[in-house]
Amino acid sequence: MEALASHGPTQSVRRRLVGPGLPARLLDLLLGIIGLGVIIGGWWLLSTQMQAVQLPAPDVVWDAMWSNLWEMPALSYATFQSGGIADGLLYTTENVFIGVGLGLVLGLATGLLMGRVRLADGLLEPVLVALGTVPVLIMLPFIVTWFGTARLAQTGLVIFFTFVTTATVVRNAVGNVAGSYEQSAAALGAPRSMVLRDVVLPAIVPEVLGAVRVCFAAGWGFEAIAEILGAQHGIGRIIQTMGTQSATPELMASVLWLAIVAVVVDGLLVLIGKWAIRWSE
Amino acid sequence: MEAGSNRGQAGATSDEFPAIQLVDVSMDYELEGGETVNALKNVSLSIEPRQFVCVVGPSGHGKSTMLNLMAGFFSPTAGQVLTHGRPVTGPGADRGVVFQRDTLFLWKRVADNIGFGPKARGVPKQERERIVDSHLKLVGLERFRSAWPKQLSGGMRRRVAIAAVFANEPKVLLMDEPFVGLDYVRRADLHEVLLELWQRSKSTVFFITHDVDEALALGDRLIVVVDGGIAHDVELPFERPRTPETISSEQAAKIRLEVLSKMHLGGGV
Amino acid sequence: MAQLEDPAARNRMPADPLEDFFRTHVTRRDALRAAGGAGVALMLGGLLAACGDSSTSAPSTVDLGKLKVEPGTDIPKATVRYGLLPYGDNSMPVIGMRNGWFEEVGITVQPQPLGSKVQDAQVVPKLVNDEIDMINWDGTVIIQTMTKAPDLKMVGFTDTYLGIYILAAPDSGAQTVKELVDGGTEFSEAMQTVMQQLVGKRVTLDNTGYHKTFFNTIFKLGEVDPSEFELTTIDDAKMVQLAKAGDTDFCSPAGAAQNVELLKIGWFPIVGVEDLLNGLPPADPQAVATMDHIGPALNQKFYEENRETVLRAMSVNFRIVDAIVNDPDNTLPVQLPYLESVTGGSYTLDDIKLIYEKIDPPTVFEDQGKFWTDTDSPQYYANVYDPQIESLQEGGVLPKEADLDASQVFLGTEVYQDMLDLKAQYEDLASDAEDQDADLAAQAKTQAENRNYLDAVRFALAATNQ
Repeated sequence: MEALASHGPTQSVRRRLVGPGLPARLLDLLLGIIGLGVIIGGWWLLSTQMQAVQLPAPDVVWDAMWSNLWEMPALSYATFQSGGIADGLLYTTENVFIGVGLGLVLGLATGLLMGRVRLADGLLEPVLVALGTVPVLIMLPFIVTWFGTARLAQTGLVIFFTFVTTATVVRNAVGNVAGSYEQSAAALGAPRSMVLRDVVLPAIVPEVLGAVRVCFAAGWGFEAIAEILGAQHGIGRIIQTMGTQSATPELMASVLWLAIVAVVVDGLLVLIGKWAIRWSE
Repeated sequence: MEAGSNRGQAGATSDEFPAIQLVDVSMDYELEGGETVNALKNVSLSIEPRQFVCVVGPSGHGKSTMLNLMAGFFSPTAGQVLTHGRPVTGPGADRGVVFQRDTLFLWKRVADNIGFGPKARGVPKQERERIVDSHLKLVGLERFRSAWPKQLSGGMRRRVAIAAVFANEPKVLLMDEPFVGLDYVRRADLHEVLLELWQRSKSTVFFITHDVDEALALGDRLIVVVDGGIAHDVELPFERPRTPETISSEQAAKIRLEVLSKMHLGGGV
Repeated sequence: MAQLEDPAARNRMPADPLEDFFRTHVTRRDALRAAGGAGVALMLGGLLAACGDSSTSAPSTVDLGKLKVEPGTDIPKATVRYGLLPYGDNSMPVIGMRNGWFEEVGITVQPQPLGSKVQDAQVVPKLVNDEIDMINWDGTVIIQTMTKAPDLKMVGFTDTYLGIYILAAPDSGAQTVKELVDGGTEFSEAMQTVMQQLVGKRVTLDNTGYHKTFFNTIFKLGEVDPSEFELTTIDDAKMVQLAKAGDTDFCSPAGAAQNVELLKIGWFPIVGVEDLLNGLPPADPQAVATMDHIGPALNQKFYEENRETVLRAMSVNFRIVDAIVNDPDNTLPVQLPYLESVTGGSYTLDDIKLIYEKIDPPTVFEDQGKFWTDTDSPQYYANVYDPQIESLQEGGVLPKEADLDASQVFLGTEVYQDMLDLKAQYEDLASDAEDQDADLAAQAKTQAENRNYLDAVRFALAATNQ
């Protein structure tokens, strides 16, 4: 039956290469390892051709990743602060979560309002479209001027991006839901509040989850950049200080740790998402 | 007409009035280009309580528009739509709708879908459970109480949709080609379920279909809608239960011929 | 529960493409793979660490041996890609560029007309990537990168940076070390009184770490700990903004011009490097270790391959110093517009004079022995920078295990000695040259007056037919 057929050429290719004995998952893992190995090998080769300050070897960066995790003397030297990469990561991660959270709440409320109330949609749609065209980083000087170096200044970009993305996604999703599920719910006698709670909100969960994932992915970058430009704490601060000192291994170590955290969070989001939309086809 | 109210139905019933009434109803749409489409032209129609009315006609000629007006999804450009003597102002639980597309709430399990209407009406939990259970049984899906809609086949989902609507005990049931795309066997199955529920609930049914045979198998009355108006309106005096022989009878063949010719005459395209 | 039939695909609503993507492409495998990939990366890194070699390289010292001078009647042309940092003393070469003094010694500065503007963070990349040849940099900064970019060297000093202060807000009424000491208080007591004023207040320091030694010293002498203040470390531009807005009580900008900006609006120093130099015993390493010197920096390779060009460039730097010291009113106006354009501040001639008098006093050629040849002098480069390097190693900025010292970075001794030798050689030849070829001798004399002893000797040799 069609349902059991392969997902296209990849699966049949796998079977031919490997034979029926090796499970696809194991093969994926092996291929992944080989791929990573190639990248690290290439990195190592390249680093022998360049100066340490331009591209340190992978093992040097690896050392830097672990020796600077809890304490970072080079950082304390310049900033008088104690703590290492882990402390910076914590600050940055908190900010990203707060930023995405706030942006999500604001964006959800706005998108729902626009999707359900004609007047609101008419008023806000041009605003949203305009905001959506603004390259997010342009907002940074404004945010710094308004909020200085306070925590809000760093999360500001994340909040802005999340708000715009979520509001747009939610508004469109609500538009899709209306006219089909809503009619059905109305014909079953559901009052408007129940329609919102029991029908509209669950129906848009898949879209919102997609948006959340995108906002997190972008959020790490925006947060790091905002921190580089004016924070007292966080991974961005560390990156900026290490850059000033030309401490390239420590700089790369910080970036790699940030990437690891971002990947882990994304993985968690995917798992949560899977469960949250386990009913969908 | 019978005196006395039917127990358990949403709101007080009055058998003096027709269950559905269209009084000189017209419906115009404006298209993007600025053209106006006259979907319904001065239609008048009266459906008595507990009638099973089937509606056939070419696509795009106004059948669904009629149903949507009865459901209260929009208001007519001119004329009045009444249900049991009262004007229709919006959708409500007294007029259940089964759509052509699948509108089961995918994020609710089968039982919660069926219980949605009663929940909306404020029915307490225990009573709700009872309603859900009985309707599951009526449509033969007791084993699938906790299933997600995605786990069900198309035919089973239709059954859930019907159960969900009947759980609200609507006085009027509006169905827009609900069984399209299903094969003959499944459809026969669903016909049985539908007819059983209709007779138990004593509700009025307005059933749109493409398939003249389906109309003959189900309805008390057959209306042909062509070009925004009613081209033919005929009683189907056959006995129930309807069998293949019923549909193949001479009388049935005559009616079929009439209907088909009406559709050809008026039908553009 | 298994599906019994194709689900109502035909009856499904149109899906959002994004949603579709995630639903069809995000499987449990992806989540596992993401975690697995990270884990594998970490494992592989560990493997490589086991077989890798992670030594850091200490820079090598440079000794080019005696300079060979050939007679000549004209100056060969050379191109130097000169970079300029946006600070007063670091951009001193502008004076030479505007006056054509580089051209007079055959050097064309690229890009025309005033070289390239370079920010702090760009100095190392531009030098390492061979985008610039020379740049007047800071001694305290170049040593921080000595193991990371071991080929970077400094060939001389033009001036000493004394402008490291703690500034107090205009209306703070804070006491200064100078006034206390002048009034009879003992230095150590004065330090403690003054530093205690910072406790519990908003203190803003620069975020570069370049003046860490100074801060460590004054905290130690004042018996305070940074954790007792409300401390912010930030770049100069924002620090000046904060100070002007009254959002900080004490601050310490890294750049001289920024210090001047605040001094002009009433901020005043409560403690500075000079106080340490005056109050501590002579040649106390604590005091000298806080000093900073500015001078031309370059890649070792550039020096090795362009020794004579470097000597000529140094001569222009010394000529500029002469002009600033001897005739500031006519020399400095040339630097004013450039300084304003790169710092964004606005300064008068008096401001710039203040910079060179008090904050960045230059040292003329004759006095340079205190940096390069007089090993007992408190400002002898090794006396200043060896302790700083040690402090960096202790602080974890430079690797503790490496064997590092200032001679691996500062080549001023060789360069200065070369110029001293050339000067002496010229003076030997001067009168003979005048007798034999008055024209050439005159040219040689001009070059000597402009500190270009190399070509003075070359012309003199040519004049005396050697």
